[in-house]
Amino acid sequence: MDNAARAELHRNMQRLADGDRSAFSPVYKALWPVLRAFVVRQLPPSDSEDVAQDALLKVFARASDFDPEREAVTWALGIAAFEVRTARKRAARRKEELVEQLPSGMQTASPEKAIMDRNLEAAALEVLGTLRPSDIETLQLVASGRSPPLARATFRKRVERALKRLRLAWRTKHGVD
Amino acid sequence: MALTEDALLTRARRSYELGRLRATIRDSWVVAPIVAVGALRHSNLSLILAAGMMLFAITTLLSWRGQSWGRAVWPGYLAGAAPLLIPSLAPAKSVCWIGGSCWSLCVLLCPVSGLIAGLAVGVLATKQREGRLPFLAATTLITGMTGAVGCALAGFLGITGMIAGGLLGLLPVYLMAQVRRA
Repeated sequence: MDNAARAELHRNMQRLADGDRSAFSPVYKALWPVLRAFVVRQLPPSDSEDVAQDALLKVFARASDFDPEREAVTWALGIAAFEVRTARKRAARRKEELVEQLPSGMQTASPEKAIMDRNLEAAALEVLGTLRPSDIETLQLVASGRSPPLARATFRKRVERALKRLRLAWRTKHGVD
Repeated sequence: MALTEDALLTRARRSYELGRLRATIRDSWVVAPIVAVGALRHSNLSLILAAGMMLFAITTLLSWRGQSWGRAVWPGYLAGAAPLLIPSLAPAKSVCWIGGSCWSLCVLLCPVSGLIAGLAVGVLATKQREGRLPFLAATTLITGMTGAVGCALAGFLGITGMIAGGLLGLLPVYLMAQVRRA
């Protein structure tokens, strides 16, 4: 927007603030593209149109409070910037709520990490299912921290064997350790 | 969901008008202290409340309309301060004799304060560069309603006196200014 257009918008905004309804259309025509371009640069396309429209409606709702000492474009962009900030906060809150809704063991730093953990857990369970029932029982005892119903040295030996077979099964299925 | 271009234009207009209506409170809040001043000084509460409600409605309408109409609100209050406050300065039950009749002093102060208000409105209106007539009409209306709250002290007679005094002060000043300009 060049200086002449800015000055024209400022004059029309002053008239609108004074109650001159004939200045509404010129202000709308001049301001809408500016606000839309500003918001589009700040937000993803999925949100930008809604936020730009909200900002425009806020500008007109507060047109009577316009202070002629301030530059009209700067004043309107200030309102749009506030709307952008609010939209960003809202998006961040939505993301947090999504993470909170995940099962407690899966609450991690990001939703991507949570999905990766979930896939890993599914793969581990799948490999575990290929083991002998006695190996599964041994590994379950280790995971639960309960004391084994046999001699400690014997149990340690069984754990070693079960883990060895688990690694082998994992390598066979996925090709890596 | 994003609005269509036409719907956005309509919503923007509605937002603007609602915003203007919300902003009228900057002008209309003064009605509350005006009514309080009137109510504290005498007992004609129904007349004061009626005048106060009309003043609130007129102020809101003019302030929402804006331009010369809106700019007239505060000068109207200012000019109306004379008939609002002066009659209540008269001591209680003080009377004077004019032409063989006994008049309550506060009744006599209503046309006097109306005259002062009329002169003030006339001077303020002649200073307007544009929209002089709407400004004059709006200021007169606000001044009259503000003054009516004060002159309700003397009943309908006081209000009538105030209006007469106001016109007496206003018309010569305004007409002289118009003639000088022409």
